[in-house]
Amino acid sequence: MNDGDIVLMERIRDGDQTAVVELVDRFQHELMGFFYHLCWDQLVAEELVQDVFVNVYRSRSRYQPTAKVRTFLYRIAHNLWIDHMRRQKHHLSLDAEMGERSLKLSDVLKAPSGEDADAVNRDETIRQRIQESLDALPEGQREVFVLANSHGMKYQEISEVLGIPEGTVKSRMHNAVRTLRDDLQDLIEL
Amino acid sequence: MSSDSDPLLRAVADEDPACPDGRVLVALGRLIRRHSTLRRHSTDVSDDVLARLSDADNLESELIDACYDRRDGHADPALLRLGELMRGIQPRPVDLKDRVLARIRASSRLSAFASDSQAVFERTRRWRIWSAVIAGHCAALLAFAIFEIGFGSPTAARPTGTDVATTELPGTAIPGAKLATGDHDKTGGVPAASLPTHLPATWPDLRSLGSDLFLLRRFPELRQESLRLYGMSESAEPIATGLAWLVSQQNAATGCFGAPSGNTERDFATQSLAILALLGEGFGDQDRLSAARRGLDWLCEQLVAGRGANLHDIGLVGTGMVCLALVEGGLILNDAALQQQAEERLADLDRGIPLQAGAAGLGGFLLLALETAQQGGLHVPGRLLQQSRSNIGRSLPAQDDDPGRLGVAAFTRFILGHRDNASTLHQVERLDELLPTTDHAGRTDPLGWFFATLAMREAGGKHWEHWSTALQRCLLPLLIHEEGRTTSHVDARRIRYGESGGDIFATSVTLLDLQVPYRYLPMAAAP
Repeated sequence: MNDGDIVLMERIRDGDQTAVVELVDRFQHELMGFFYHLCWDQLVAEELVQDVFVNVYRSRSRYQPTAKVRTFLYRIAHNLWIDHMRRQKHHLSLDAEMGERSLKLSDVLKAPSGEDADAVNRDETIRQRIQESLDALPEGQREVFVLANSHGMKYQEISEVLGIPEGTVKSRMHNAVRTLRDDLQDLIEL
Repeated sequence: MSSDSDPLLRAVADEDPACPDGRVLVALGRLIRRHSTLRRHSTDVSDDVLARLSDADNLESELIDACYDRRDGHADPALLRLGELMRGIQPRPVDLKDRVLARIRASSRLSAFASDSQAVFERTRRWRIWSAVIAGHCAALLAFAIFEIGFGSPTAARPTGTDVATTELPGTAIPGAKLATGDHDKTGGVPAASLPTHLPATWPDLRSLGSDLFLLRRFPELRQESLRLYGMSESAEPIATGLAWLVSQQNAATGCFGAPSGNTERDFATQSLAILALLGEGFGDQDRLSAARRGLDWLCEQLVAGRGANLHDIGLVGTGMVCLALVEGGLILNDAALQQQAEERLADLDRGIPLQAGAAGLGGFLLLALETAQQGGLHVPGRLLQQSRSNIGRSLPAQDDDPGRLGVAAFTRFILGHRDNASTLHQVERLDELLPTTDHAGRTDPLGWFFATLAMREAGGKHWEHWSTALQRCLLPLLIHEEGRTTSHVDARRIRYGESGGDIFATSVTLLDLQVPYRYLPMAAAP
């Protein structure tokens, strides 16, 4: 356990705002990556990351020094993601109304030109494939895979973050990897 | 008897005992047949197959665990490649420290802050606000003075009736905008001033420079010069008389413009539009400013919980108008309470209002409120802003016959910095074909034209010239100037949606269109 992190949390518990800034500095990038790989949206990810730190400050009295700070942060992030997903369900789905796949303005307007157009298109196609494959995973599997792959968490840590048994993490991970490997076979062999 | 011509084969077929080779071959044939027949109970290999599959499965699981859990350095190359592919997609790096800190400080629920640090924070906050106000004024006046000194009398240097794009003012060039004649604007007593050359020309520039979005409307000289540069000087007097009429319609006791109809959406929309029209004049006139302030107070009172009205009761257009009025009011009047109201209303919307796009500015007002709030430094829910942008952009077709819908689409693209995009250009071309005109019932549509006017101003060139000429031709005659009075207003029967909004609505929305040259800063220089 990182003693520096614990000291930081203790300072936050005492209401030290500069400690919050240090915490943000230390964890913002990996949390951005976590949310971004779940929603693929920069603005939403930024908003959720801010929510994490605001919630950390609000719930600072609940932090136990026995818990790893990183696990504590990701647990809050996981809960915020669940809330976000729940809230999304209540929003009017324009995609469903219009019968088309979700498009963003930046996608619609994107018009690469010149010599790099082919490379850009190829990269964009690969990126699109990867996003679609990840999106197609069941929610539980996706989160487990993102935590393990992009954030280097071991099964036990993931089980603590998500509040599920380690065996469940393991089986979700196996299923996720198999599905992704099958879906992206051609890209893996490139 | 076999008919084979070969004697040996014939002897074998006939099992001729006289042929020894034939006997041997027959015996051999029997032997082979006996040993080549399948046993009646064949071996069940399914268990073996399952076991081998299970072994493969276990091996695969083992590889996955080795790669992702134990990380023992013997990872399968295919899994490593898969991981690399996923990690290759990363968000843009951002620094959220200030934003997190601002949210923590702004949160009223965080009462655990030590009281002394809170007091320090409040003092520094006031100091910052006043510093920003003073700095803003100084910067604007300095820029104004520098330009005056640097270029001399602007109107003397410019040829009358010449396209500004060809003059010595590249920074403020508005292709297609004709200069007014003479040193003084014929509608106002204020000498014409020139706009500083370094003003941002696009919304992305404006955002990156952190400019004051309302700079042009803050000073009478800049408002007048903007009208002149954009070829709409004729609108100055009608705007002034129209605003005077709006002020005269306000109930001095309640702050409400006109009498409330009882229809929440209608009242909120009408009130918000009147406030927005008055705020379009910045600090120009104390009466207007006071009227806007009283109108905002009325709006806030209605929105206070327990008064029976909230934004969930009204539609998206009304919601957008209310939010925009609160945001502009909070920023122009520099009122912390109003700014807090605006932030709370925007946060409310983030809790689930379904966004959609459509004609007559549907969604556009809300997007404008969010963009304005963000530029003004208010807290804006990122999800809501993103949703607003993407929904409006997504739902609007490239070609449409509704100027309101097209206007929102094109203006959204300008806000996002896509002015040179083919779709944007196409929409501008299409708007050029749908110039303001009266319908078969003799009505105009200033609400539908508001965003189209903003978009065409950004487009500039011949498009703006066509649009602004047609707009003034349609709207200026609507302002009825009563004999002996210095006010004028628009008859609701002369505009679309007027029957449900009344004269205050009709006048306000007409004025909003005419104020477009100076409502927002981007100077819309030629691409």
